[in-house]
This record gives sequence, C-alpha cells and structure tokens, in this order.
Amino acid sequence: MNFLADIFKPIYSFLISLRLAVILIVSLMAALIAGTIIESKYGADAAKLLVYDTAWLSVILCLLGLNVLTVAISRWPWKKKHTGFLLTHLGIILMLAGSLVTRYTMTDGQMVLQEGESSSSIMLSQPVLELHERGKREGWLLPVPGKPFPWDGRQKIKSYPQNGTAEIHLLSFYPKAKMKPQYVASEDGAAALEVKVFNSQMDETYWLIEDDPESGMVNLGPSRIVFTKELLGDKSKDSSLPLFLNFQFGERQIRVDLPQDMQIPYRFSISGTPYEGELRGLFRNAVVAGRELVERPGAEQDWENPAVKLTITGPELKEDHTIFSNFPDFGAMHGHSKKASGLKILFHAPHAGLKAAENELRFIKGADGKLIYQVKNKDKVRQGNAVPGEEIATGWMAVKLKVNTYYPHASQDRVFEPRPNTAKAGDLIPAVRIEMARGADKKIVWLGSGMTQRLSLGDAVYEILFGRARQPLDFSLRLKDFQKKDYPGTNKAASFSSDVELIDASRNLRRDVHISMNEPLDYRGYKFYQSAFRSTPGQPEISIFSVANDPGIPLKYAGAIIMVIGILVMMMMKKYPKQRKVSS
Amino acid sequence: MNRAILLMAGFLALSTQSVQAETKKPVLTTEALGVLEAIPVQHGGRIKPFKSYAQETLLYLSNRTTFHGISASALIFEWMANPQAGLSAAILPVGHPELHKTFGLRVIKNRISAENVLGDQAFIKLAEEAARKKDQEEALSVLDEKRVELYSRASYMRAVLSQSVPGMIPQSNNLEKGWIPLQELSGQSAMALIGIYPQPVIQSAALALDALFSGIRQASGGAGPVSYETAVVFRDALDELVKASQVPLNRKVIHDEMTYLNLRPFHWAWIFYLTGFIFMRFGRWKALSFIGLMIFTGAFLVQTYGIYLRVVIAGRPPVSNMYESLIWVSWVSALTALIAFIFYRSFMVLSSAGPVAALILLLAEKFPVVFSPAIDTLVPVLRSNLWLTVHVLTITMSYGAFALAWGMGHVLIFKGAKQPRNAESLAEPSKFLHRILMVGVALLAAGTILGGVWANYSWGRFWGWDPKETWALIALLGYLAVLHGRFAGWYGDFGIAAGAVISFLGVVMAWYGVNYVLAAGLHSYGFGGGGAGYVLLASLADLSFVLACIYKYQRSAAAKLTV
Repeated sequence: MNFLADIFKPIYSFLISLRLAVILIVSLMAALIAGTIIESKYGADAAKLLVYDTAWLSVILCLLGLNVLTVAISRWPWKKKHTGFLLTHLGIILMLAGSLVTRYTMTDGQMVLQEGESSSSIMLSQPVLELHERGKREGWLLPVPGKPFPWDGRQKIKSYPQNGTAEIHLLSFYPKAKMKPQYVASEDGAAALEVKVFNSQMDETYWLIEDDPESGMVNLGPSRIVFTKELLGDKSKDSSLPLFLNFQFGERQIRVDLPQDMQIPYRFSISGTPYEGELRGLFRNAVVAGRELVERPGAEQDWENPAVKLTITGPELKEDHTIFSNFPDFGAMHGHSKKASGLKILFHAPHAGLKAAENELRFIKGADGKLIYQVKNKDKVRQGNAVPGEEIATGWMAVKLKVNTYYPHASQDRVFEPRPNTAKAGDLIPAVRIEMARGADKKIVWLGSGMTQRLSLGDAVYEILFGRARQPLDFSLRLKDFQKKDYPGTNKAASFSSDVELIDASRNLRRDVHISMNEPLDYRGYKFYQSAFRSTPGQPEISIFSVANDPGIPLKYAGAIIMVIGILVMMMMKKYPKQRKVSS
Repeated sequence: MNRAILLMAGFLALSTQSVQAETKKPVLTTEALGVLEAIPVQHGGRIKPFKSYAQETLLYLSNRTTFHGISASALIFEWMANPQAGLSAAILPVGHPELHKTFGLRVIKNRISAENVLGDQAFIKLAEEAARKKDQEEALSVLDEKRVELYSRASYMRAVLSQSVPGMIPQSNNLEKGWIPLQELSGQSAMALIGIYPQPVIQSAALALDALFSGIRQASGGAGPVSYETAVVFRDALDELVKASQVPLNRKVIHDEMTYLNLRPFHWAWIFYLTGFIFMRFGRWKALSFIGLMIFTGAFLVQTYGIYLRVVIAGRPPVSNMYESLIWVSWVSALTALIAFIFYRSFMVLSSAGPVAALILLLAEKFPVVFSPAIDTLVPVLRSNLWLTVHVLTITMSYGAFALAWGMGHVLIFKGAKQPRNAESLAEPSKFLHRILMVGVALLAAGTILGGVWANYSWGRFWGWDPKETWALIALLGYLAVLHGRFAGWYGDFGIAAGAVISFLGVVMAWYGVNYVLAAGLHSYGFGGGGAGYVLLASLADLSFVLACIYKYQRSAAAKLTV
C-alpha cells in the first residue's frame, strides 16, 4: 500500500481530494442545468442525445464513483466514527453502479394497442431502416444514428447488405417534420392541379387532386374549391356511385363490387381464394354506441363515415371485420385472434357529401384532358376553360384564382420540411432522406416514420421501411377493452385503464389482466404501464402502454437505502467541524 | 346554444328596465348572503359551497377576488339575477396593447365588458382561429394567447349569466352524472325536470328562484336588500330537490369548506408569524420573547388547522399544486424551527423562521392568479398512491428546511458583515444552520429517491432525467458542495451561511422554475405561468445582497479570519 502510494501519490492524493469531489459536483451541476434548458427548448430527445446519454457524462459519473470509492478506502482502518460516512458513500457507489447497469441493459419501449388487437413486440425509441430485397428471405435492420436537431449532410449507415452490393447513406434526419406533397407529371395516376387563391387579404396556394378524399377539396369559409369528375348540376350519376370492397392478400388485390340493391346480409365469394364473405351491416354514417356500431340517427343520407361489418370464412378461419371507409387502418377485429395471412380489406364508399355548396369553384378534367372550371355563385353557374397562368374571378369576396400547374396525370412525391423539436401539431413525424446505391445505380428517397418505399436498383428490387426498432416478446397481449372515467360533470379524466388478455403459449398461460394508472402488469421481468390513450369518436379506442425492463433496479434500491441510513447515522453522530484559522 | 341565444334576447329586453344597473349598495343582507353562499354546487369535478365557486369564477374572469368591494358570491348572484348588468360590467382584463387598440374606447381602466367582446365579430373570428390552433397544439403568439383568454373569459361570463353553470340540482341517484344548472329551472325548460322530480318540488324551487332573483333586481333598482327569509326559502327549495334526487351529500365537508373560506387561516397565520417575529426580534426582555414564542406557536396552530381543513375538503394530501406546496413549505419551515427551538432553545432560529413562513404565505395569498388557491381535482396519475404522497411530502419538507436555512443564512451574513470582528457570535447559530442543512439534505435525498421508487412503480424507470427530478438533483448537489466545502475548511461560519442562501436558488428553480419557466417534462400537472420576471429580479436582488455582505465581510475580516 505504501509502495503503491509512493508511486501514484500525486494521482492518489488528487483522487481522494475533496477538491476533486467539489469540482466533479459543480461540473455535474453545470451539465445537468444545460440538459434541462436544452430539454425545455428543444425537447427531451435532444437533451438525451446532447447531455444525458453522452459518454462524457458517464465519465464524470464514473470519476465521481472512483473519487467516492478511493476516499472511502483512504480512511482505512475504519473506525466507529466513520460508519455514517462509509454507509453514505457506499450507497452512492451502488447507485452509480446501478445506473451504469441500467444504461447498458435497460429495455424501454411502448406498446400501442387498439381494442381487439394483439401484439407480441414492443417498440423501442431507436430509429431503424428495415430493408428487404425481393426474392431473398432475410432482411436487414439498420440502426439510424439519431440527431438532436434537423440535420442535413452525408453519413454512411454502418451496416449494409454483407455482400456489399448496396450502400446506404443518410442525407437528412429531421426529428420532427411535416410532409409536403409534391406532384410531378406521370404516365397514369389521378389528375392534379396547383391553384393560387387570393384577394386583398389572403394569398394561399393549394394542391388539388381529382376526387381525392383528402386533397380533392379546399374549404374557404362559406365557399369551396373542388376538383372532381362530375359537372355541377349533373345529378344523374349520384345514384350509381360505386360501392366495393378491396381485399389485399399480400400483393394480390381482389375487388368485390357491392350492388346498390343488395339485401343485408349479403353473401359473396372472393374469387381466386378459398374465402367467402358475408356482409352483415352497411353504415353511411357509423358511430359507436355502447360497444356496437350503429347508424347515427338523423344523418342517414350523407356518407360521412361509411363503414361495413363483415365476416370472412375459409379453411380453419372465421373472422369478423369492421372496416371504415375513411380510416382504412382501423380494421377492428373481433372473434379469432389469428389473422388471415396479410389480409387487408379496404371499403370504397361514395365520396362524403359531394353536394354543391352555395358558392363553389369546380375544376373538371374534360374528356380531352383539358381543364374546365365552373363558378357557382348562389344559383348562377358560369363555365370556361382554365388555362394555367390566367386569372379566374369568382365573384365572391373579390376572390380570384389562378391555376399555376396542371397535370392530367400526376404522381405524388414526398418531401419533408423540418419543424422545431417542440412543435406539437399532430401530423409531425420523424423523417429521413436516404440515398441507396447499387453499383452505378443510385436513388434518393424521403421516408417518414412508418413509411415504406419500393426501390429498383439495377436488377434488384428493395423494400425499405423507416420505423422504430422492435423487440419481440415471448408472449403477447390483447386489448379487450379500454375504459376512461371522468370527474363528474366535467370531461377531465379521473382515471383510465385497460382490460387485456395475457397469452403465453410457451407456458400454456392465458390470463385476464387489468392494467390501470399506477397498477402495472409485471410479467417475466417486463412491466406494462398504462401511460396514455387515443380516442376518436366513431372508432375503436387505442391504449398506449409503456414497457420497461430494468435490471439495475436492485442495485439502485440497495444503494438508496444504504445511503439514506448513512445520512441519518452521520446526522446523529457527527460533530460540527470547528472553524479553521488561516494560520493552521 | 339556441336556448342561450333566446335567453340573451330576454336579457336585452330586461335591460331596458334597468339602465343604471350597477350599484355599490348591497343587494343582499349579510345574513341572506351567508345562507346563499353555503348552498352546495357542483363545479370543477367536485361538490363545493357556492362561495367557493363564486371566488374561483370571479378570479378566473377578472384576476381579482372582489370587485367594487363586493364579495364574489354577492356579485355572481347579482349578475345571475340581472344578466344585463353582468354583461355590461367592464371586468375582463384586456391584457395586451394590441387588444387595447382593437377595442379602443370600449376599454375602461384596462378592462372590458363581455358584451363588447362578444359583440365584435372580427375579434371573435380571430380568437376562434387562435383557439383552433391551440387545440392542434400549435405554438401561439402572446397576442393570440390573450385573444383566446379574453374570448373564453367572455364566453364563460355568458355561461354564468345564462345560469348554465354551476350545477345546482343533482340528478337522481347517480354521482357520475353532472348536476343540472339553474337555467333548467326557469321558464319552459323546467318541463324537462318534471320527468325526474315531483312536480310540486320543482314548482316551489322555480318560484323561490323567481322570488330571489326579482328581489335582487328590485334591490339593485333601489329597493331594500333581499331578506334572510327569501334566501332561506330558496335554499330549502333546492334542498328538497337534493333530497328528492337521493344523491348522498356530505354536508360536513361543505360546512368545513365554509369554515375554511370564512376563517382564512393562512391569512391570519402570516399576520401572527410576523407579530411573533417582532416580539422576538425587538423584545428587550425575555418575557416579550416568550410572548413572541406563544404568538408564533398560535400562528403555527392556525396554519395546521387550515391545512387540516384543506385535506378534509380535498380528501387528499395538500401538495398537488403550487399554492398548496407554498402553504406546506411555510408550515414545515415553522415546524422545523419549533423542533430546533425545543432542542437548542435558540430564539435566533425561531425569529428567522417567522418572516420566512410569513413571506411564503404572503406570496401564496397575494398572487392568486399565479398560484391558484382553488381546490382542484387530481390528474389520474396522482390519484391514490402512497409512494407518490410520501415522495412529494418529503421533497417539500426538505424545501421547508432549506427555506428556514435561507432565512437564517440572511440573518447570519448580515450580522457577519455588520460586525466582522465579532465572528465568534456566528459560531453557535451556524451550528444550528449546519444541522438544519443536513436535515434538508437528508429529506431531499430521500424524497428524490422515493420519487425514483414511485417512478419505477408507475412508469417503469427509476431515473429518467425529467427536468423536475434533474433539478432536485442539482439542488441537492449544490447543498452537498456547500457542506463539503465547509468540511474541507475552505470557509467558515460566515461561508456556510452565504452558501445556505445561494444554494436556495437551486430549490427555487426546482420548485418554481421547472414548472413556471422551463415548463417541460412529466411533472406537468403542477404547471402554470406568470411571475418569472419577478422571481428572477428577486433572486438577483438576493444574490447581490449576499455578494455585498461577502465583500464587506472579507474586506474587514481579511486580516483575522478565513472567509
């Protein structure tokens, strides 16, 4: 000990010095203050990337642990008066060790479940690219380096297909981005036009897509602009709007037309498959009452929220589906939890409420591909040819229009614009711009979180998806019901909770569990917490659980208890240090 | 909505009869007001006396607790009886120079009437646009925020005047259902109640309501104030409805809340604390110091009773918002001082605690807009959890200890700077200070760890770098640095006193700053706004006071002592 101390004396005496302890405490304070300010200005993810999850913070914490440890050892041989001091510092060391264990082994993710759905994996925060090559069995999961702020540059993403045929670079990473559709002329696809609407008070530009449920119409207060196939006043087509179902089995799509005069229940077969269907309900304007889908009273005439209920039967399969025309992703499923492989059903219903408004400007693509406009002002209708670049007077509130661009056939191109990290609008998602190269062939593509893109490069075709890493579980959860209780007389939530079914096939276990705020489910090391919910009228509710597995907890708890006992012992035993004189 | 418009039309017709509606004369006798104030209503998710509802409502509408010296309850009753008077009363704060310009001459002493706000279509359009943005959680400009605020205040005023808030008639035997407002009693809509309640009960309630309101209208027209008997008839008629509904009503809690509102325990507590302090600080004789001690103890007991009442009323520990934590921290600092007095018999600790406890209570009382005194419902995550309660109580107790240490620190550095040669006199009190700092450190460390235990139990992680927990850690590290520096002998009694004052900035930031300045993270249920500038100024002033004392102390004592 003495010999060692002689060699390392300067290092050793620095390590055990109070000076180092205070320096470390103060620099830790400075770092943490910076972290909280960054979080307040740029969000929690930025603070994690810039401060809390950095190597240098770990170094400060490790040095602090080393300092505490050496100081504790330096008091050897320990006496009774050291009890409080030793316990406190041992507790701190254990807690720091626990946080290191947490840092490198903790699983922290989310599980988002819609009523009726089940899941056996959790979503982590790590962004990843999922890459599949057509005709190959395996795919690749490539972690994307996270960025605290909107980032443009060029960074090679480490792992790419091992044979080295394809190379992927990250060109942009926006933690929060807004998708801006951009249209380009194409061989087929719906017609698109860009129109500028202006008067003395406003000046806005919109893209209109022919008969698109989202971008087919712009509402401007008491008037609206529509791009559709029908001319104004042409009511003859109204009754013959097509209703059909679209079944997607993997790549295959099968359309089943629904006759206008069908009797419910309506049975049909899905041609080319062993499946049959039975339509059990058709709603023009579905709302959920109790736990049942019903027609909203008094609104039967408008196709505002069209939905169908149907049962699919086939070999060893019987499934109930509810499909909303406006919300194709909300296929609520009841009955069997097993899904037909890759089956997705879309329901096409007439465009909601295409009745002419009082004031309307309507664009119509004529038979020859030329663009026609109609202006409806109360009961008068004017008509003319819309030529890009020429102004059209509407007659309402001195509003004028100008078609900037018109494509008889257009396809959409995705472009993302960065938004501040703290922006909270609902349609903001993380987005990346990826360059993928194979030999001399190179493609650049924008991907928002959850979006897939097909890329053909040379003779290979890739599917690329940008999302978040998933961790599979050995068991699954099915959300049976989600409940929210409000404070009486308000719409403030007093509590919310979920009824889930826990299914663990490997242990032959099937158990009903109730998860509520502060009452998590603890199973095989994972804890599931009720953290949030999403509810939209007329749609099944969505429950969000945060899922965690932290092996560092026992160390931290032990450290915490020992430290608090140590402080108490110190308070009871320790004398107040006497004021020291300068001379001594 | 249509009914509201019809009612509004009715109000306008009424208004022609009472041109000069606003009057400084009371429209209700004190006794009548006392009866009406205690009527139970349902508002904000709980059952409370009308007085509580009226105070919250007036505070929300006008940022003030009284108007023209008239109590909130009297004012609200007067407005409900005579809606045109309320509609045309300029009580909504305008709050932005741009809005001043918009409304021009309609603004009276920075305030505007609901009528003028709701009559301005252009303004409503802008406000609705801003409200839509807010719904979509887009960032709003200050002007837009103020527009939304003014518009929602005016709309709420309209709801108050059309008597569609608060709920006053329970729905039959179902606590979950919202109570029915008075609006349903008047005119044709009373028919809807007939299916639920016996007809005679409804009729007598409608008659009593009519008698009360026409009485108030006549009183504001110049007749005598409404009598006690009229108020009692109205109260009893509503009581009959409550009985008919068979909704169980805890009248003791309503009674307790009335006691709480009428007694104003925290108001009296700070007055007593200050009085006690004056006796202890300036009393030349020991006897006066003991009288000071008695008064201090009295203040503590009154405050304890107030906290007890709040706990009974809310049915939960009193630390769910900033106001409650202020009250609690003030109480803990007084308690710590009393315990220290029992151990050390030191009047110095007690007389430092008096101003600290009083100052915190004063802050809570004088800034009701920043620190809302309303007893609110809890967000789901805070409900019924032992760990959470223990965690929050422990942390705020440490704030109490640190607040006391902060007060003592001021006394000591001031003494040190005044008589640097007499530094020995700091030795004993600074020993107490050191102890109290250690108590605070132990509580803050334990409280932060308990927060981790709760977070692990509730969210699945022990530590997540949430701003609130991070700042609790920063504050803790600050005190640890001060204690270790003293242990290393870098400074003495004066230094630790200065350290106790400076380190309190960390507590201010963790306690107030995270919620009101940073406003980020998972502890969002305590968030509010306002006052950041004042807090910054006060902190800077405090800091310069410390620096001035250090400078003076160092200059005169350099020859003799370490700093």
